[in-house]
Amino acid sequence: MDPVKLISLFSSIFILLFIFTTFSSLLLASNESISKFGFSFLISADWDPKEGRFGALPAIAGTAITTAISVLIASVIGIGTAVYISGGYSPYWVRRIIAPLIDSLAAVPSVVIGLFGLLFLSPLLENVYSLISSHLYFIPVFGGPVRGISIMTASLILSMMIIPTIASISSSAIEMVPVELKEGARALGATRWETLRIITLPYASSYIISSILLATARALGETMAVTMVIGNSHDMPKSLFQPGCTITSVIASEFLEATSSLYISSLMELGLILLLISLLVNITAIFMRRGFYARA
Amino acid sequence: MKLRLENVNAWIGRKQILYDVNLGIEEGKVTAVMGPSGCGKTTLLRVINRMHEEVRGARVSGTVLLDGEDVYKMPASVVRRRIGMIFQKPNPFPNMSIFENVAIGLKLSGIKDKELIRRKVREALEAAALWDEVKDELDKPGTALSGGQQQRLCIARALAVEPEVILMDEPTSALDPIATSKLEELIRKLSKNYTVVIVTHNVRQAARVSDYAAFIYEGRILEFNSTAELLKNPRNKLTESFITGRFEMLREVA
Amino acid sequence: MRELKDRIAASASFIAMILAVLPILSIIAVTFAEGAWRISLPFLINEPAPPGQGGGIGNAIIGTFMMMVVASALGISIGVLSGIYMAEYSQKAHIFELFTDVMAGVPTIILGLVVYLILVRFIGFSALAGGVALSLIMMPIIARSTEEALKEVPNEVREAAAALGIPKWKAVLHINLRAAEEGIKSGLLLSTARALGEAAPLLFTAFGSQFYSGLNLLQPASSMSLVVYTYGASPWEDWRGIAWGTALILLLITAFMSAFARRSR
Repeated sequence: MDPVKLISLFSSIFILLFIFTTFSSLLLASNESISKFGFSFLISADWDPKEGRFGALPAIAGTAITTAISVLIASVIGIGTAVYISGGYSPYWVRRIIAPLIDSLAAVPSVVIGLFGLLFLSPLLENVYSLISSHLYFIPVFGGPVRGISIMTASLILSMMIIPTIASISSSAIEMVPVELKEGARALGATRWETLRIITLPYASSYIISSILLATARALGETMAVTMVIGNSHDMPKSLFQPGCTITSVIASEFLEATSSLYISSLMELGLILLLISLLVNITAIFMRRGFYARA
Repeated sequence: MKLRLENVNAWIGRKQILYDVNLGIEEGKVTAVMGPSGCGKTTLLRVINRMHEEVRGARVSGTVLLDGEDVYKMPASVVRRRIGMIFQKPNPFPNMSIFENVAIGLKLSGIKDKELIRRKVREALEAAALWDEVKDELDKPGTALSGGQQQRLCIARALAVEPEVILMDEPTSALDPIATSKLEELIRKLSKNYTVVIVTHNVRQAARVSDYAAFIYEGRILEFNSTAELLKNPRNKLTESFITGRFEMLREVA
Repeated sequence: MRELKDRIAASASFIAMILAVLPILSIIAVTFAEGAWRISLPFLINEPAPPGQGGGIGNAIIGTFMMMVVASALGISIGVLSGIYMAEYSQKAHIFELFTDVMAGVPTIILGLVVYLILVRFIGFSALAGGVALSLIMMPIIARSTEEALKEVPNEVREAAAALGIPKWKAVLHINLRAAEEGIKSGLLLSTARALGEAAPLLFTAFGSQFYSGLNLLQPASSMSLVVYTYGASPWEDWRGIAWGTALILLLITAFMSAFARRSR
């Protein structure tokens, strides 16, 4: 019998079992909280550790809002960057310099990005928010009092972290569009923008969407950078310029201070919710990618 | 007979490649297997050292005897140590030096004595006519050699495990003319100590290098004789057209 | 009119590119500016001290080292073996690939929670637990990159090994892995750089510490990433300075590793 085959099979099974272990251990640990609160856990905004009441809504909302805003911003900037470096708007050497530069952000540890956000960006942004809020005070999401440590800052930091993902996959996708198609359009007199709009981007769209999903999964799971700049406040978010919380920031900030078993269990349940959401997004992204390879 | 094939048929999936092959390979001689492309020459070789069964859906029937023993009743790895193979495109192991390439077969069969290994590597490289060219650069990567040298490295690698038979699948087709003639010279030399079976589509090469020749066409052996006889007096029409289509100067060889 | 749209697209995409490049440039600049002058030999060797009394990150460096050793040992052994299985033996590799990719996508703080539930409750906060948590980050990355590297080894290499009578498992260990060396090393480097920068999974496993504890794996430990997080968020100026210095060191280490990994490709 092949000894390597046996040992390597065990290793692969370990990885297989890991997901189940993760899921079941979190489920077990959430038991107390699930049986106590049931469904209301998801819709209650009441987070009072002293009284033993825990509601996940602000954290879930915060996760949703920061993820949504960051993905939106990152998609626009990321796709725009891809268009610039691969869509014919810049000479080829630009791509060779700019692309690695942008990608290198992915190598920066998230705590470093968080530090940058906390100590450098937040004070800066606080002034920017003040400016916006004083002029646009009638729009509720821009209401004051503003703080640098806020949902908006967390969203911006997140978007910084996921732009490289969208930009690099999108630019590769654009470059993979067959040259004959692009040249055909140009030969008919189409401008670069028209070629992009009509030929290139639609052709590359599935990869671009897949990259956005990937970025979403990344944003959902990011902990340190977000925790350092979001302020961890359990108030339901009313303004973007005020502190909030996400599932990851709550767990990170409060787990070590959790005194009662119900508290811990509630945090575990939050973790379970996050796991389910991110599994969903991840698996969708994986299957989308596989669909493309099958087609290609 | 060193090797005997009796009623050998071979398939890949539903497609039959070899039909009732009967062949005797004489010890210490070079036997050429000639034929046009796609007629089963390579499969014939791979049936002998049991490489054919590595392909999905492969099937073999009939008997292959090495010194009278049924090759399909021995462990495959034993067969392949007694019957070595040289491939069309030289394939030295990547990221390994010249020395390591030749030594790996020895090391993996359990030999630990470093002196012994060094000696056998040298002998193999000498037998492959490569020692003089690489003796000062044994640490260079195997892939840094020229095509012809790489092929001789592969031969040294095969010789290191001390086979009795060497199968060669169009070994010079990827080489330039000078490397080709060096290799052909080596093949003649090798036949003193080994039994060689060489597949080739080049009639001139068969003439230069082999003692016996078999002509295979669409999976069947149409003719088998001493090379000189086969080229001078082919008995089969197809053999004749194959030979004359590419080879005018019969008389020179005979 | 059509030309105008094209020109607007050109400008807009240019602005996007600038916005995409700005973050990395500013992070590098700011981290250097704030952190470079804080790094010194005492900084690297001393234990942390109360605010205002200097202090350093010596124990965090040792802690990082210890945890990375544990993480690498586990991550490399299970990761490489799993990659071997997927590339060389598995008939249904896509199922294993799926689970591996899913594992890679689990938020790292969840990994911390799981290791807490499974390990910390029995052996306490420790460098060992932290190392295990980090290994879970490295494993799927190493597994996939090993698989890809092995798949790139041309079949002729396998044929040559088989024709020499070398049994498959020996060929895989001694020849195929060797042939796939560069790709595997690159995966190791990338996963190590990734693990070095993580703090979330360490919060409830290694826990952090203010003291040297020798090379004791069963004591709580600090890591450079944890230092950046805890000191960076502290109310004291000089502790925040320590965070910047540590951040710069982390940045340089991961930058070098990633650069090497790219070179090997």
